[in-house]
Amino acid sequence: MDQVWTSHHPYIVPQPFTLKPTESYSKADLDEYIAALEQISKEAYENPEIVHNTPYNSTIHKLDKQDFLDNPKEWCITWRSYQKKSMLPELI
Amino acid sequence: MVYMQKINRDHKVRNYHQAKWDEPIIFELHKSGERGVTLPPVEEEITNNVGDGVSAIPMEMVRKKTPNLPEISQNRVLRHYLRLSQETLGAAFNVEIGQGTCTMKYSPKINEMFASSPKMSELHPLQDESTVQGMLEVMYKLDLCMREISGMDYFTFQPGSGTQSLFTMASIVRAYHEANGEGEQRNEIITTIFSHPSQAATAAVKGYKIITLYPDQDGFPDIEKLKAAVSERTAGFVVANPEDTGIYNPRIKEFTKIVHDAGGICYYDQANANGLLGITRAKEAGFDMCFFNLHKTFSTPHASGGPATGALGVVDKLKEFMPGPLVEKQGENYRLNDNLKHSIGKVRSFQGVPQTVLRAYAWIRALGAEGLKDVAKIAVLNNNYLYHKILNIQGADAPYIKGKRLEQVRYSWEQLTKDTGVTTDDISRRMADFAHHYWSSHHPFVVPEPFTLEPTESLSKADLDEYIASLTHISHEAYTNPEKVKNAPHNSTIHRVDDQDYFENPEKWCITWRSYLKKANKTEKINS
Repeated sequence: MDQVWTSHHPYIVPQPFTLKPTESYSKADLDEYIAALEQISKEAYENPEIVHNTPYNSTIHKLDKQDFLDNPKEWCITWRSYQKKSMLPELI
Repeated sequence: MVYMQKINRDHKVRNYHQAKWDEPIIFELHKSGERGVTLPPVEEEITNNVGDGVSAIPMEMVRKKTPNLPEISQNRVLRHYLRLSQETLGAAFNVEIGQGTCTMKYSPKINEMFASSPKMSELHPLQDESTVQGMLEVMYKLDLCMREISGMDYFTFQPGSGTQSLFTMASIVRAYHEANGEGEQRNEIITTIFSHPSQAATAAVKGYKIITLYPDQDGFPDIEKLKAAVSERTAGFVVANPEDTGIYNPRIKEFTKIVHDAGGICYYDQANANGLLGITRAKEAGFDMCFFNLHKTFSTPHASGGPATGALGVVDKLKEFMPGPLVEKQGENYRLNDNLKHSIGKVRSFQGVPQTVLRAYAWIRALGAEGLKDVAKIAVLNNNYLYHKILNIQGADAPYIKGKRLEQVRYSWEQLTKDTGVTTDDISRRMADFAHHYWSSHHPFVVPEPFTLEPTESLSKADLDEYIASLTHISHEAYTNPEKVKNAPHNSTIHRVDDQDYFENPEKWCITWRSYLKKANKTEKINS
């Protein structure tokens, strides 16, 4: 529940997010989640750049390049593929 | 053309940041009625047969009030402790060589599986001997291993720590001299300043006057001072060798002879025997007793201050003074012998901590005799590699003789502090920024700005190189930008606490929820 997910297809609802608390969480847990969303909404209205440039407190910060995951040449899912692709620029 | 970006992790000084969860105290998560597990009501048939489960307990043993425990869901408790675990720098997270003298070696996880197996964890110490033959066999066989490793004749695993072992040995010394009619006359115990402070402390608790020997200019305990210290008042001599400096005293047999000639008992603090396994033994050095901390040399967990085990061995003439019972073999069976004529009595309930005994036994059997010797060789090799590298860091040094050291070294930043004002405490906090634990050493505070590193056999050259690179980096910072080091940590869950006497004043801290509420209320009243 700690992450907002922007929902899957169909992309009919603009700027969607889909929350589902299940039976596992307490009111205190839900209130904490709601409070965090309210805080971000407030930031968006007062200082949208703060939200645009997140995350600040995570292991990695915002990547400059936003289409990273759309181009298979830029990523890999196995060690073998990683070695191959990381050698490409050197070969060329 | 676009290419995949290669990940660069070549730098040895880690780019680290600790998690921060801002998590409440678990008592603050209390919500009346919340439950971890909701149990169904007891079926009538069961109640009819065994009653309500409470009335069987004698009235004087039943609590008047339920315990004041927080009511929280399972889900939330799990989240709480996972979050807190991310805010620690635990032994399994880091290159744990910064707490020298404690031998923080790796504890193989398979031994944890043995210890937590129901075959072990569901044993009860009051079970009949015939039903715990397996555990008694393990204790007996570990005793045999320990005899081989030390040359002593009998072992007990009852003491729960190194300090308790030292206390037990001081008690045996007193009981021995009392049995010989020399209890009052022999009222002095001799130790050395770089042996563990518990040696002097436990002997003092037993009523002994303590004589402390200081080292000569090379760092060896001074034999002339020992000769001057022994007399008909000498009850015993307790020493570690190597001492906390990592310097091994090669004349130790002369020391024990001098004490024996004066009628004293020699006992050896081998809590940490990591540089000695299979190389040298307490018996050949002339000792009458020794102990090993299973949680140091024999790889069992330290468990945040216990429970642990000090395996204490004695020569034959002291057997009757040991805390009982001892495990003995009779034919094919194992039994407990509590018939020790001069026994000092128990120092811990039952037979100590059998889970620890089992882990140590498994560790020894997995390594074998040659493996144990390799442990000592690799620990000494690792330490001397580290020693050589640390001496090349600007501002760092190791006092006393510059020859080889055994398994650890007490270093000093005296020069760095003189040059830059940065202290060993500052470095301790800055090391946390690079995910390293670093500890500024325990008593005696004889070496200025000390730190004691002990790599053990567990760590690779790459691990040691990372630790060295971080220390080198901090030394460089101290000389170029000392404020950065003084104001560390910058990447930890909490930053530097302004109030530096926080831990010295009990009014400012608490160790229970009850005490927290009381002190917090007091502060509120004063503020309002």
